[in-house]
Amino acid sequence: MVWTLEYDGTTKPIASFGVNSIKRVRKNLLTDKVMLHVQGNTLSSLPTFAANTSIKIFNDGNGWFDGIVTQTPLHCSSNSEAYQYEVSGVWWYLENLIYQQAWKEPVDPTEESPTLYNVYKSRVILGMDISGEQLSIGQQITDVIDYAISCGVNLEMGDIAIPVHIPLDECKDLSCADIIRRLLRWVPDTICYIDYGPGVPTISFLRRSQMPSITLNISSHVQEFSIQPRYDLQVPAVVLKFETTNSINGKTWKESVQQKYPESCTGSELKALVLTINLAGSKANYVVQNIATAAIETSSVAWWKAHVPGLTNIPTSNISIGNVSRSSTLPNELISGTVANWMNKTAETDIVRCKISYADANEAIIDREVAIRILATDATTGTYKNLLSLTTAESIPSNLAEQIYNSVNPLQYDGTVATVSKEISQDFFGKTLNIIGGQSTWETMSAVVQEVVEDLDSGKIFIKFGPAKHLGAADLAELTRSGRLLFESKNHSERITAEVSSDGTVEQGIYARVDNTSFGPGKYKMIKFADPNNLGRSIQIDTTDIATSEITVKFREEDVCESGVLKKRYSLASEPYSS
Amino acid sequence: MDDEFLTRVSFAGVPHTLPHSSNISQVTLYPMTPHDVCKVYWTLSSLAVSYVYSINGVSVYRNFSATSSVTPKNRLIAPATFETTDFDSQTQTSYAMALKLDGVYFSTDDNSKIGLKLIFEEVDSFNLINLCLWPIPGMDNIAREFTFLNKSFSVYLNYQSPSVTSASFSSFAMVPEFIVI
Repeated sequence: MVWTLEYDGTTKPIASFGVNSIKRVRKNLLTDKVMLHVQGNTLSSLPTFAANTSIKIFNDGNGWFDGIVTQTPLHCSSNSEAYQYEVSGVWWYLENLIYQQAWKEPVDPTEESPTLYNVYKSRVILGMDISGEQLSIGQQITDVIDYAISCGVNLEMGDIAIPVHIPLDECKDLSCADIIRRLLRWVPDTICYIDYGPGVPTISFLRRSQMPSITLNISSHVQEFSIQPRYDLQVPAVVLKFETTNSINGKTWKESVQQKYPESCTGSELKALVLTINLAGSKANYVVQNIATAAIETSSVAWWKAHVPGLTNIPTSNISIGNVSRSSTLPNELISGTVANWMNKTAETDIVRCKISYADANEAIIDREVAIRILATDATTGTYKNLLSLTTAESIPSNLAEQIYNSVNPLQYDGTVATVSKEISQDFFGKTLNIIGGQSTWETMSAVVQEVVEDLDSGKIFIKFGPAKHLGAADLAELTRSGRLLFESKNHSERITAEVSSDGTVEQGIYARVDNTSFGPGKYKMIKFADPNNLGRSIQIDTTDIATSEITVKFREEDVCESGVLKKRYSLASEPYSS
Repeated sequence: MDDEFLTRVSFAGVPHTLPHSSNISQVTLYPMTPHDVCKVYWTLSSLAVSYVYSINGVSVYRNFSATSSVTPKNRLIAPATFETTDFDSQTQTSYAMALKLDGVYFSTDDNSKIGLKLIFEEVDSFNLINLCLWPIPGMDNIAREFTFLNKSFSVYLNYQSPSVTSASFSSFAMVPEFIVI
């Protein structure tokens, strides 16, 4: 094998750079590192590889590592001087790049329907794109990687097939690496594998069932190993309790939905994984208007009595209606409430006129023209609603309990293997490990390789396999942290719509009932006063007694002398008329 | 004391039917208010009159009381006539005077003020003597002021030269008394 190194635009055999020792350490969801040991008279010389410079290492011309020099420590002793360079793989960029998402903000918030534009924020909502569509873990990680690539990280997206939907997760100021680890807590059997073989490093995410397997014979090159089945990590059941708090017009209530796997489980089993997950509830604001209407019945005496207060005490049988006319043709009148434009109903003022003749309780015969003003409408009695704002509830991720169960229920094998050979020719990382030459169960254990340390000088490979401890899959308490650290997203709607607050204006009804409180000037034809104890003693004022047309009898002032004192008084008299 | 009464009147406080007088020997109590006119017409029971004048060297003292027995209710038909009693004069006068409340005098310049005529008739040897509220053009006029119903009036002694060679008007007083109701 020919090992070459590219540095500062020059590719040469590694030995020509003074490198006499190379070790590569790869850990799942952590930064791959290569340690280059350069021994020699280095005390007074500058480092061979400057910090923050790029280094690529090739094995027979194939890419083996691609990274950035992150540490250049100098070690000196009485008999040697050496630089121990640390070169970090592409994951280092993801650890040092804060993930940001596009949010909508209004160009001019004072407009009724403002134009929105994208603003990148380090407050992020995981599990949702900017259009509000749900994203699976795989889609969300792809978005994180795409963001890193857009920021200049030399990386390409490889395989990723994690179609698992999760509750919306709102967080802020987290690196791309933190985001990926946060997402993969839900599926802790996932491995992040970076392939340096192509020209550009390719990052892939593989679940246990998707990884290729590799078999190791303990009778061949294996120096030592340890292995134990982790029955203690097996979870017999997964129960997710989703809680949502909904609100309509300020009235709130909680809803809870339970998702479990297997279906037959109860959640009360020992070691059952029970998570309470808060989801964003729905919020709605309505304006509600109750209105009451009644038919306009202009031929009905009762209808007129209801509208003309002066008729209230007149017996219905004493009233006659005639010469009815209306200014509107709408069938109903508004009794209570108001009619607003959003009801899509018509309302207009209606002047209803008629001629009413009646005799009142005092036998006064009245004949008058009456005009009343009402609000005519085609609306009918009922409750009208107008939706002012609506935020839909966060949907429950489907099959999440099953996905978690499939990730944490299978028996995991935890252990280490150390091999030694002349050449390091096998790549164990990104694979599941089976061991032959030992117990039969090891041959199909499919243990997930979490860490590989390769020492090129000695030909030693150290392999650590088992559950991903850094993802919380090591014990039940860590698994439940996935739920404890998750709170419902408060701002997911804002990300999509910018949620420009209205000015508080609620369109009010513009048409309200018109009350007729005044009867208007009366036209009594006759008034009769009578002593209730002696009906034969009465005073009767009857306009028909005035034979002459166009004559008015009214109170008129006159002069009198009262016992020698000049005074005035009023007398009921007509104006002079020709006899 | 007399009975209470109530009757319709004209705006001047006197019966609508009261005619105007045109007697030239008069004192018009202009400018009495309608209230004054009403009170005098309906409730005046007597009038104490006294005046002193001198003409052609002869002084005339008049001091008499004119009274009426016409009750207010009867004044609805016709005004009361006041006859003199206890005529007392230091001069020789064959016949003194009669006094009559008579009608209403309307001012032409102010309809709110009403006059009431008091008619004097004085007949003696020194004739051509008049008492009048206003000076008479073409005659000699001597004015005296007097108070009636708390208002100030002027009365004029009118005479004709050269029949009257000398004249003076030294005093005039007229004190009313009203019926108590």
